Amino acid sequence: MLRVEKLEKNYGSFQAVREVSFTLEPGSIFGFVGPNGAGKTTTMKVISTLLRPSAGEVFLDDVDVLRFPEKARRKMGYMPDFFGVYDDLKVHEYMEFYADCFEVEPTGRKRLIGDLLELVNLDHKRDAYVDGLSRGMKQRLCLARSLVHDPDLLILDEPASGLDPRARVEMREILLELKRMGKTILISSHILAELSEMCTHIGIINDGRMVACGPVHEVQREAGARVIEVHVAGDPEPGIALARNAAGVRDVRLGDGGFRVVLEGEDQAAVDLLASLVRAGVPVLQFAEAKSKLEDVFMAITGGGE
Amino acid sequence: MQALRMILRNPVLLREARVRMRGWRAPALITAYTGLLSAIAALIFYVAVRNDGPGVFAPEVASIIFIVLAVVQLGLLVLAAPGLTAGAISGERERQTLDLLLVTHMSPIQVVIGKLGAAVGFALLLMFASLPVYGLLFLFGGFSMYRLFLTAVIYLVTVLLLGSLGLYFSAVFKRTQAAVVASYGLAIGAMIASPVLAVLVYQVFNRGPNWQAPEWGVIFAYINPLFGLAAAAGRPMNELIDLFNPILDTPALREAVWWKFCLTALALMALLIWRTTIRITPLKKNSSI
Repeated sequence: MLRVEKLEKNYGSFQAVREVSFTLEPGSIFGFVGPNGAGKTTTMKVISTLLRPSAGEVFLDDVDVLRFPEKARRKMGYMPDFFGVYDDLKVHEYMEFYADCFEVEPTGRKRLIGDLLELVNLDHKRDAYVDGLSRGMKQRLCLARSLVHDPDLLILDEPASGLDPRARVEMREILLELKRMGKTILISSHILAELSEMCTHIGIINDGRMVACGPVHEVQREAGARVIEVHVAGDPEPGIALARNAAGVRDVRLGDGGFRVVLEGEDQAAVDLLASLVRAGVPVLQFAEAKSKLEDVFMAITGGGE
Repeated sequence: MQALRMILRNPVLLREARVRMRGWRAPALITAYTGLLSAIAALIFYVAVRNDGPGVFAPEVASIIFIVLAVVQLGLLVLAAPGLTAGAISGERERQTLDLLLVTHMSPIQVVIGKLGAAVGFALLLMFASLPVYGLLFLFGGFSMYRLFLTAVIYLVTVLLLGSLGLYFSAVFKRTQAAVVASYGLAIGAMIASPVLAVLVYQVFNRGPNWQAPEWGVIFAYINPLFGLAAAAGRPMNELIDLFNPILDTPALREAVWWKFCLTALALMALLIWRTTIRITPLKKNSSI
């Protein structure tokens, strides 16, 4: 569906994206993960035909996106991380405006807009001014806008940023529904837990480079991140300080009732860590390997560079 | 025909027109605009009747009212046109809607034409709204329909030129404020500077009483809508063109100023639209997206 090959983008001497390559299979949800400034938005803007890369190629099906942007735009819908709306339009007028811009046939347009508004749960706001919508509603309206020309590929840059938990859940449900409808989705997000629940594939970008890419379970396995959950009686800080300096530890984070340690290496590293905690008098209640989460994989790969 | 369809069915134009006409601002502006022109016409009419005595009204007075209205209307359009477009692109950028527009099937030239069309459309609406004021003057004669038509052409071309200028700066500058300042600065500066520059060029190249200055010496007159209007409106306003008598030494050359202004302005407009389009075209090297 989408093929990105050796994409590079330089701003003067600064390399924002360095030889990024990945592919998206039809019907997949590809989670694009990386710290702030890693190059996610730049890559997505290049794919969306808004930015000229310094090098590399992007193909959408057989269309060379950089050579034939008009053709590519017919197959993709784009939702940027920051976007505005025309405050002085009503919701249905806003949708009609973009339907005009996307040259959607007038026949059946009213029904299409109704269906899209229903999909994003905004059908009851049809005659409301866009200005009066909440942030979550505006996000959903923007998503509906990006679907107005029935694209095969959706490029969603942080679609859930700034939303409250309820709105995030609603957004996730909509995206899963779009997946069921056969759409291919490229989505970036900082909320890794959400991505792990819905993504089939993942790409982790750090410092402009794609450091891991593939099906979620494969990336988790390849990252080799081993997470130990340590519960302690009392203050966890001495244990955290000790763990940070232990051999083979990539990252330590405060957790509920203790801390989580991202380890690399064999069992011996875990044994050594436990021994050093006990020797130092840290009151360890529980020391157990946790199931590796996407967040742990991300932290393991990027070295906690968020 | 295709080009006309592209303009009339342009989504950006339709949206701008819909939004602009919504609310009280547009009717208030039209009322203020026609009210000002009517008040000026009424005042001149009152002064003329008072001076000539009751029941007497010379056609020349209608001609003077026409000239005054024509100049005031030009002044209002010069003040309005850059303002109508200077925020067109930068406003989209500030509102963060430009990217959304550029990933649609609309081409950048369609976006630019839509924005310009909306501004010109509103200026045309103001002009049409002022027609009843001119209609009253026809009761007294003193100017021809032909001159009125030429005057309207000058207005249209002026709005197109200044609208394109505003649009260009709107694409160049990220902030609307900067685009507005640059547009008004250049538009008003050029109007003031062009006669001065025309005189300077003439004086610099003047080689004595029998010397025939080349016509390009008045090139600055061809970018000034006031001179275009003076040539188009006929007597007594075309006396302004007599300033260029040493160079434009025949009535035909002086009369030609109006269409030469139109050609120059339309060429500049095409250049500005082209540069604006380049500026907002994604994936182009000179793009400022």
